[in-house]
Amino acid sequence: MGRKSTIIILLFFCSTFSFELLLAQQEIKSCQKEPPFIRTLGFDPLWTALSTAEKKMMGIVLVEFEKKPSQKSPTSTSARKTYYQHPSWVNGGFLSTISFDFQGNAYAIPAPMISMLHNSANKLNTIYQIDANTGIMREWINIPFYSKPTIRNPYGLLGITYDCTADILIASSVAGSDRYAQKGILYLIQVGAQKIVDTLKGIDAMGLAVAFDEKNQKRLYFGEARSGLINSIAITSGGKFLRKTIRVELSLEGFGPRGDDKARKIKFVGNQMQVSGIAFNYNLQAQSEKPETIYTFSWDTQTRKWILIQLQ
Amino acid sequence: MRCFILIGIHFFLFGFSNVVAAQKPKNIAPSKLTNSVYVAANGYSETSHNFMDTAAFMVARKKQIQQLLEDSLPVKWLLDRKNENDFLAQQIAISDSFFTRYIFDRTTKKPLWNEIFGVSLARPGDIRKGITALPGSLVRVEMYNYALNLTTIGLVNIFTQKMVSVDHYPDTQPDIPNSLMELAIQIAIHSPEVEKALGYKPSSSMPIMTSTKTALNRTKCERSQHLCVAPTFIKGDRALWAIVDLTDNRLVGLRWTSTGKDADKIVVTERRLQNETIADCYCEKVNSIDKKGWKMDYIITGSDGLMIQNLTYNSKRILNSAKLVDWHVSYSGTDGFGYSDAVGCPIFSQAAVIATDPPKIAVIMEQGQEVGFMLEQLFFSERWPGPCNYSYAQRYFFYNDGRFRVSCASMGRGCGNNGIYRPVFRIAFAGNNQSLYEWNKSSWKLWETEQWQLQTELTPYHPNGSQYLLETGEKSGFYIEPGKGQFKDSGRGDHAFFYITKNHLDRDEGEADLVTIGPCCNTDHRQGPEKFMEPIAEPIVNTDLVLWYVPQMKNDDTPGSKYCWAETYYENGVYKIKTYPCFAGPMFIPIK
Repeated sequence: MGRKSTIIILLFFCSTFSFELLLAQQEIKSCQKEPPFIRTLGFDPLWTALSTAEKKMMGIVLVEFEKKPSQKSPTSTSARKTYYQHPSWVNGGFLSTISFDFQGNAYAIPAPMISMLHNSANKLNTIYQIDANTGIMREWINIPFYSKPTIRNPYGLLGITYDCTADILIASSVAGSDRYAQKGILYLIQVGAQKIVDTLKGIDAMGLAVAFDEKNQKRLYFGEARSGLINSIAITSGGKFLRKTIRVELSLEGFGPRGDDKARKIKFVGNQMQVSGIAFNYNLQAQSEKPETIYTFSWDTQTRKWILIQLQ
Repeated sequence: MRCFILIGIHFFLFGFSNVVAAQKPKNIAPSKLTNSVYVAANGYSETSHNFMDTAAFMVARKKQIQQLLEDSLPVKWLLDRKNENDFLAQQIAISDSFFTRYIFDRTTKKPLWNEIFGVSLARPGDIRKGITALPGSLVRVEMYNYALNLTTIGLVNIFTQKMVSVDHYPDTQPDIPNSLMELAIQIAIHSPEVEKALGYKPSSSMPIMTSTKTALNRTKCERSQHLCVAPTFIKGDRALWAIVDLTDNRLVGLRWTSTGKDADKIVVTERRLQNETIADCYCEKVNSIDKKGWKMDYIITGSDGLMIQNLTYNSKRILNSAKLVDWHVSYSGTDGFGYSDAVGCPIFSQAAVIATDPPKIAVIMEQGQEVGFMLEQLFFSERWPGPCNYSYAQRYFFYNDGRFRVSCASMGRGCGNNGIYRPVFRIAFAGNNQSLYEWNKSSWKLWETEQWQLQTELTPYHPNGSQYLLETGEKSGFYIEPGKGQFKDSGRGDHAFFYITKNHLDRDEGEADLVTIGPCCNTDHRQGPEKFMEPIAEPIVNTDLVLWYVPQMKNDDTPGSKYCWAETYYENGVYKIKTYPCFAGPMFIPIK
């Protein structure tokens, strides 16, 4: 067994934010920067990836892929050549989603795998950071528990994403939620100041992404952890939620081979939204053994709705 | 609708010649309304089961499948239309070797059950770049493979009579044809569970009543990977979803939903139905049994399996509780590789392997006599018996003569054939004047402090087969007989670590739901219970005690001696699961 975690292929782009008026919902161009420590260690950043999904390996791992003349860059299924793991990278136990900021710092969140043996309940709301230059991982921020984790819910943080336009890390925690009460919180964290600048309570969310909507308003798109709904809320340029702007974007209910998927990951490619859907029921069933479906939706400007165009 | 369970009609205990019959446990907690009813796989009531087996539509269906599997091409054609082109399109598709690539088992070449579900003019999206054809010449043919849960879509040019393209889609199900819609409705309206839920017997004509409509909703059987649909009966402002499995031809369960404006936002699926039923009726509600002198409460815990509590026999209190804390699975080929699996509730729990079916209660028969009853709970990974997925069983046996047994089994399949399973039982007897003795070849030797011991080839047993004696009071107590392969349940011996620890009443000694108690891969006594006897072993004479029992079972995939294993096998055009459980656990025999 294993877990559904993250593997980030380090295809870095320099930031070129696109602010032109858009007729459709639109991605925010990535501002990820190559973490200098990868070159310092002697690896080619293009042929390496940070991964939390390697079987039998806890924490974060730097994977070096075998170069193939026929390929310009690796994919997540490319053959592994070597692994590198700094001793500090296991300190957080099993981890999942990785996000990068514009300096190349990497952020990851805890994700208990099958048991809580390697993930302390007290650290379920801790975001870890791998320093871009030193490659050392440390606890970056311990988000206070609004509601304490319980034996009935082994999760805290479930999602993070980085907003390139405002240097804000957005995190979602479901700590303390139970079957009858959503006690989850969305956090906006100013990275430079390492400070929580706004919260939105009462929402259990998993997959997160930031993009511009059809009116060029920046929005946080979040997949509900207990249904197939993907909602969104506008965020001001100053890093505040506009609370009255929450809206439903789409639902995964009934789609795909399972019909009850939740959005684990959301990604924008142009005006298409790609959603990785899995089963999630607030238990410790091995995530990696759960089949994942990628749903691609396209924004229909006529009906102002998302249209499912592909499943894979 | 209240929680209730519909449980197995007759099933055989693994390795026993015991017949067990359905019993209905009594709920003692305050009643709570719930909307879901899940019908376990072998869970029809006898009436329903017999009727379903003999109903004309079921007999016809089975006959059809049998005939189909004897054909040279095991594909049921779509014959409910008279269009010649539809017929021609199917003929072209079935003649194509790539279209029929999966209609036989790839290894054994045995026929799998396939059916053409749809024939229609190609949609614009079906026609890939580069395909040119005259308007109206391209026809889409959809075939479903029940065994593989696979959809094959072929594009046929009926003018040139050639196959244009073929795609195979695993885990995908096309829209079902009218004949299957009718079958699903027949199964639903003939199920007593539907009648009970609606409050009347629906007729076969549609609409069923002037005030009631029926529709066929899409649903998923995501756990069984079967073809399922949901005939839905509208009654007032509520809708009753009857999930019907068209692979097994049975009712899976029922779920009421409202018909408000958000009604279409919720899709009732097999998994949702199972999870809600188990959570409502067995995780959040204490159930009880009062039978043959035995009384107890039981509940499915978040991570400690099925726990029994407050066990009494003929009004005498026997156990405070018994539960299964962890499953430690280690693989010998790789150092430190394995898992610590907790078993328990399907949602909002720390369970890695979860309960999807309700607990079962069954009669134990020996030599034609009813000698007791059994309480059983099964736990599953989502993709079991696929590699690196697991299934576990827990069984409590209660005999008319006062004996009882706590047992469990792995049913594979795990990540390899070199695995050792170490389940951790916690058993707390009632009373605060307990002492433990070990048989020492000639006499019972008192254990004075907390300790552990491993059952080995050299372990001496009392002539009655027991290894330990737990005294629970003056002239009362139980002999403890570990598994040595004598229980006729396929168990090959427990090789168990046995621990005894003091139960401090002023602190939690593992009574509450325990998080993972130990790592996967320790091969010695460090399975977790030793923590309760550290740093200093305490005196344990005439006090409250807790027994911990950790058997060790090595899996085996050798043909003829499979153990802790599961595999699929072919039957009537589909695949089914065969298990080779490795049961372990001690028997407790009252001192006479």
